[in-house]
Amino acid sequence: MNWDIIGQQLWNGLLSGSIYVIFAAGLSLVFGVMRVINMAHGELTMLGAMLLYTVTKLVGLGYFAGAALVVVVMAMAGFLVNRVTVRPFLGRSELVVILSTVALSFMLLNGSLVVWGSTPKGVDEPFNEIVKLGGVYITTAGLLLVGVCFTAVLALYLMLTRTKLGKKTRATGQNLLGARLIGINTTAVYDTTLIMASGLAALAGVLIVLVSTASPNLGQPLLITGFAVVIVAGMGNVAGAVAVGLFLGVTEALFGQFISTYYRQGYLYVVMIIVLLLRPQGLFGRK
Amino acid sequence: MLEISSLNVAYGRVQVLFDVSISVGQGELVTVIGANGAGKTTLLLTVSGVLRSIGGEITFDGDRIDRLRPHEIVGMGLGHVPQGKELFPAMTVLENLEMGAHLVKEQDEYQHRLARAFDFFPRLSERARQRAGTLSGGEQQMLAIARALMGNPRLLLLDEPSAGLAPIIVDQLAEIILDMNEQGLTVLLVEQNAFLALEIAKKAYVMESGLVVESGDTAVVRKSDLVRRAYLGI
Repeated sequence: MNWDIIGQQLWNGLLSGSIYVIFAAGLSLVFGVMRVINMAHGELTMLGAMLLYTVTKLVGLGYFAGAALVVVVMAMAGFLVNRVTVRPFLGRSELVVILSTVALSFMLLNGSLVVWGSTPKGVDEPFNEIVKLGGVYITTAGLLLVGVCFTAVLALYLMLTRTKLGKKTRATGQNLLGARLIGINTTAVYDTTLIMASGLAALAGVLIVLVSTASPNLGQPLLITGFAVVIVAGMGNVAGAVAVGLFLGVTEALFGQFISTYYRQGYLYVVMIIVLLLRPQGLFGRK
Repeated sequence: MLEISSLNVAYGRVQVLFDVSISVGQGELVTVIGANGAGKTTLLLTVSGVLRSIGGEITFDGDRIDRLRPHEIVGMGLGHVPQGKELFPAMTVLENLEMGAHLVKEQDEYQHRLARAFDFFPRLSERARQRAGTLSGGEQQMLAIARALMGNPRLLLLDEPSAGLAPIIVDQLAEIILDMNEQGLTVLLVEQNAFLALEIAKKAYVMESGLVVESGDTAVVRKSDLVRRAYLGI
């Protein structure tokens, strides 16, 4: 057994797992609070990456300034996502909301292909030394990615459990009518939920470019993976999504190394199907 | 304090309330009784702005509220304890109460309200750290009322507080409702349990199929043929 290879794959798994975590956290937040499956979540991440490419390469901002700008702008765009594609359709069949977010997803994807073309674009990392730790090669840009992901998820957790806004958000997710009857402005809660989720999605996008390239096609596969994470964890369970995201990222990398690179994508679906068969509510889901 | 006049409400094309007029004066305890499906819950949900009327008027302290949104109406001093309790099941009892007072900024005022809620429902202080979803039915009902009280309402709408509770708990609740009313809280109580409602309220309305069919002082209403036959069985 070659421990260096295992170590390297654990690191690679941690990188993709961190992205899954932050991506799935936003997806899970929207479902948990609004019972809305946001099919455009992957495209919001993609836009984060593509906009970062634009403001760094074409406008000339540095990585950190560009990333901060993109995340803030995308967070604000979350307000529009709610008002244009979600809110008008709430109270009708859940299918209608799914379809309207699918429509948004297609518009963003195809619009981006028109604007940026389908060739992957590289973004310059702020720093990228390679550190050799034992036999494992670790990049400083990768460390930044992992660090920011976990800081963001921790911040989300503290926000939801410690602040009044967070508690109102959880209350609205647990009982919409109850929240309205004690005077919580649930429309504002829905707005901020999509603002936060959209910001988190864009944050995933600006982090992905630290270890990969930006391309209009990166959103779709990420959405599928995100669903696998959210479904295995239990819909709407943000903390569960963190554990499962990491677990799937790491085991997927090990699977690719030791079993089959070819069936690597299939691995996630197999896990998802097994979990759904044995525990349809997900590993951490209730009911 | 609350004036409902000629209220009409419909779900889609099906009208469920027809020209309902109800008046609740400052400090009164008024009840609306009626069978399942008479439109009592619809009435309360329309008052608190969750449902929209198709005609008529609702005023609260002289201000029209029938076009406002629930959080605006609650902000004016209305509390609503809904039929299904509608608690936040994964939050603790304390967090549920905290949510009831979410508009309160001053810590002193919050502590004051919390103390008062625990005063009415000592049981809840024992269960403060427990998740609301793990409480018994009676405790959940108490929490639902306490959560509404945390908003310091001037008018409290109570929707079937006795539903599904053991008779001894119902008696306790009746005591507490009377107590709250004596301390100056105006109450509009909706009940299927006519015995309970007619015993504690001073004024009663009887609803059937979306219409008010009888109204007046409880002493009078209790003696009417309709109520004796249909609700009291005597």
